[in-house]
Amino acid sequence: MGGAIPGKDFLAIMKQAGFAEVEMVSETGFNSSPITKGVLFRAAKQVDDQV
Amino acid sequence: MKNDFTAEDRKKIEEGIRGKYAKVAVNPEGLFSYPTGRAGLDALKYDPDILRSLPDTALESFCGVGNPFSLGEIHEGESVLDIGCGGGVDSMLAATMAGPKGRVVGIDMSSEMVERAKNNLSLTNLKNVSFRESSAEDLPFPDHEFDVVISSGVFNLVPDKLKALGEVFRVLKPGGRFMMADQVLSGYLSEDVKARVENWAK
Repeated sequence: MGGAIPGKDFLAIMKQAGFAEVEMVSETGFNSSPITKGVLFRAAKQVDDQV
Repeated sequence: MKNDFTAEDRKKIEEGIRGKYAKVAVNPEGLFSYPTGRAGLDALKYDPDILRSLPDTALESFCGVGNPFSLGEIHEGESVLDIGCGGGVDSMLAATMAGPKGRVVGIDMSSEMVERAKNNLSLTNLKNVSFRESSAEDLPFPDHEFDVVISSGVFNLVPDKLKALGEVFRVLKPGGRFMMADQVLSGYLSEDVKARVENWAK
């Protein structure tokens, strides 16, 4: 679990990478340790984004 | 957490991941704190009709942490990349949804997992899936190659998350979707890099 980061930090990195509509949708209930939790993320690359 | 790993840190991280997933490739049962195999797929509410399209032996290798398909459908004819495909269950399910006009590529940094995925694929009649060994930080694909990128339980293991997410963004077509499950930190973990590296794949 040493590489896990808080969900809000991951969302920020997704935005930094260029994604739009970034969202942490829900928890999955599959937790790998007492200090980590499984979650679902969704993001999109905008139609006019040619990068 | 800052991305300030030395070459030695990265080597230890990679060795830890490869060591763990060499065991997972044989059988994931008992190696995770959540259900794996068919029990995991059922608990995550994967579509039972689509699961029936794959042999039980292939489903046994599932060790995902969430159901990326619960975030949106894979449409017929779409191209899909599965990052950290493991035994290939999500890749093969995506291929079933995409149909013969679609195409799915699964990548994994563990050669043992890629081999397991290929073995699982050989148990099916799917012709629109391929698997290859690759790092998430350096995707071996041209720009704008995929309609959808999926992943499950992988990005927490990636040292340079910005680089890997930049690669996802690069290979997605404009309008493309990224649907993923992962582990996020919900409690206290030391900022000490050495401690983090030691516990990376645990």
